[in-house]
Amino acid sequence: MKEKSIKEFVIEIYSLLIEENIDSWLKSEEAIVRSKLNPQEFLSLKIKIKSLSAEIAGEFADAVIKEGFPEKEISPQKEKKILNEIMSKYMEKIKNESTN
Amino acid sequence: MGGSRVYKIKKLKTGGKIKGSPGNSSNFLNAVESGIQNQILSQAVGALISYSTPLNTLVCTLKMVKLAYEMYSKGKEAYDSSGGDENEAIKAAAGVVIEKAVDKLKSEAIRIAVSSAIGEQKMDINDTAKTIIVDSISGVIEGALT
Repeated sequence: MKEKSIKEFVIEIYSLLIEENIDSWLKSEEAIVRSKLNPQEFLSLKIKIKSLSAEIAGEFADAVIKEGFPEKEISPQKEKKILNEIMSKYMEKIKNESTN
Repeated sequence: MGGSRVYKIKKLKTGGKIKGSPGNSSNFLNAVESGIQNQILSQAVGALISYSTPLNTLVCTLKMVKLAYEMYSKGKEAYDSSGGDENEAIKAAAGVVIEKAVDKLKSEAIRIAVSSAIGEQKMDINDTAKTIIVDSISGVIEGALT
């Protein structure tokens, strides 16, 4: 049985959940998304989502461990704040990439 | 170059030349496609930030991660001490939650029993009063039993 750290747990679980949430948003906007992308581009987008989810999860894991997780309890408000800050940063980064 | 990216795609598809085009049209198309993907991605992340996705599972997940890690740790401990027995690992992992569930069930069982008993008394009281009575009595019983 492989040794796993709490950081790996955070990354794996959050990566999956972030990806699931983005996928579910894509499904809700399916008509618009499909009108802008062909199947190959859509697949490429899915790959980007996977990679982005992992990056966000990785930064989130580092941030909560720095705050003392798991020994120290992180309140839901703090958890949300940290995650939102990281996601906002990535959102700006992606926006800047799309306009350059 | 002026205009929106959507406008630029339309122009390319119907033919003709866009003034000030940066050069090779397929490189330009690739850049535009990538730009659209990034736009979609940034909108998706924006939706996540506002927790407005239909799924919305990112609230209070850290507690569950901690529990998941506890389960894994117990499971690994049992796996190592049993010389690699996966069944022991799974039992130990599940036991972390079941112990907590049994604790929760214990107090719920008492509450349910007290609530049912009060119901049978057919006392003419409102829901708030009933809740207070159930809480008080259940609390006393639990305190005596644990």
